[in-house]
Order: sequence, then structure tokens, then C-alpha cells
Amino acid sequence: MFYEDVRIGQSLALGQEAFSRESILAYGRLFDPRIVGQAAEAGRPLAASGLHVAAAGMRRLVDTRSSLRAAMAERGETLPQLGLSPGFKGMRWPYPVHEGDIVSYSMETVSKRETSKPKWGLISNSFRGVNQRQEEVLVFFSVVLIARSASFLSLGG
Amino acid sequence: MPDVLYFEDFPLGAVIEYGGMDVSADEIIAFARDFDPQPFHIDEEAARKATGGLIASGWHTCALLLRMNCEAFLMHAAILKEDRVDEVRWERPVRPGDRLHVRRHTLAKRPGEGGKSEGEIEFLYEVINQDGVVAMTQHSLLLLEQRSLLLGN
Repeated sequence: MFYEDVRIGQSLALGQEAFSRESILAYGRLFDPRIVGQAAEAGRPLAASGLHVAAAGMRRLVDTRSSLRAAMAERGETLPQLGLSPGFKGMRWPYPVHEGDIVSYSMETVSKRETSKPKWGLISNSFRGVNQRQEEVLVFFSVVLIARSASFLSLGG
Repeated sequence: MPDVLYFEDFPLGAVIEYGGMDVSADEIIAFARDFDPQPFHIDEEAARKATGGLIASGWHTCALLLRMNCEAFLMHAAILKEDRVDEVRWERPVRPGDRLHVRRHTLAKRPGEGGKSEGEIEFLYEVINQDGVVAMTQHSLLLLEQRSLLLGN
């Protein structure tokens, strides 16, 4: 699979993540001490850190990609070669994620373009998480470099 | 420093530095096992070939910035909403043994109109390593309460 094979509008379901009190608190202990403070107040459900909701989505993406690659390898297809991600844009959290919530993640290709380097094309994806009530809890846009099939030509030269 | 930080306590154009966190190989691997288990984040051998050694997940660097921001001011600020992150750029890899700190710029301030008590502040954070190299930048917006309106001055 190459840059040329990526279609705009293509979407990919990335699976679900259940947010337990323990997982919210574990992230909070390491990176967001405000959550530890929240946990001390009785009778209120814990809210996950927005970056925890995003990082859990990254885990879903990595796992989904691994199983797709395994299936492609089994079929004897060329595996996509991806570059490191340069970052993301426009991250928002319209609704909070609380303990007990289940978030479903998905990704859709919104644009693609060639880069100044002949080997790589740039794909822009919109990434989304919704909870069990279909409320949007995470939105952002990410870009990733993917190898172009034309790069094979240069291997001969 | 006042007990609670309001909109007025972040002067426009201010640039301040804070933080100081050491990043170990164990922490990089532990984070990536949970959230980003790609070979160059969890496997020294694979990382040597792919990225010249283990590198931290970009999401880990974001999390470390959050921690340093919490300790420096988020825990004491009158925050109404962490509105959004406009952009994060992973400029250079973070590697085991790095020590990271933050340089924060107050880029823009928009007081709430029509007597609203909230004001919006746009911050730029640079996450910088021990060699002065910027590993990551983040643009984000916070909604904070305005002291003047809150106290009725």
C-alpha cells in the first residue's frame, strides 16, 4: 500500500477504550496532579485528562495498524511505510470523559498531497472519539508521511 | 504569587521558564507500552536501526508538558475551560537521559465581552532539552476567570 492508494473520505474504526477510575487516576498520578485532588473529593465521578483520552486513541490506532499490517502480510501485499508524525492540530474535547465511559475511536482521511521529497506523500486525517451516548469527546487532525510508489523507481537507479 | 491566578495575572507578551524533568528509558518504554507501542518507543534494538536509539512517544512529551504546567500554574489558576490545543509540533526526538523544561509565551489575551467573567489566553509552550534544543511546541487556549469582574471592581 502506497500514498497513491489512499483515498480521501476513507474511514477506519479503531475500536473502543473503557475508562476506569483506576486508569484515569494512574494517568493523573504521573501527569495531571489535579486528578489526584479530584479523587480526594468523595461522591464525584473522576474526569479523565484530555491528553489521556487522546493518548488512549493513539493506542487504538497502533493496535489497529498492527492487525491491518498482519492481514496484508498474509495476503502478500506491500506494507505501507509510514514516517514519524510531525504533530497534530485543532484538538478539542466537546464533552468530558468520566469513569465508566466507553470511547469509540475512528479516523478519516481528509486530504493528501505530495511533498518536496519524491519519496513521501502527506496524508491528513481527522481523528474522533465518541462516548456510549454518541457525544463527541475528542476531535483533532493529524498528519502522517507515507511512502509513494514512485519511490520504487529510484531504487533501480 | 497570589493564591489563585486570574486572567489579569498573565501579562501579554510575558516569557517565563519553569519545570525540569528527567526522562529515563524505563519511563519512555512504560508510557509507550500503554499508549504508543511502536518499536522505536519500546525496543532498544529496533530503535537503534530506525531512529538511532530509543525515542519518547510524542504523546509522552505532551504529558510531561502537562505535568510541568500543572505544577507551575494550572493547579493554582481559575480555569473555566481548557478550551483547545491549536497545534502541537514534535520538532526533535526526546531521548533517555534528556532533562526537559518549559518556556511559556503569553501570545494573546481576549477579555470576555459584555460583562462576561471569562477571558481567553493563548499560550505558546516550548519544551526544551538540556542542550537548549526545542523538542516540542504547543499552542493552546485557556479560559480563565477575570479577577476584576469576579470581585466587582
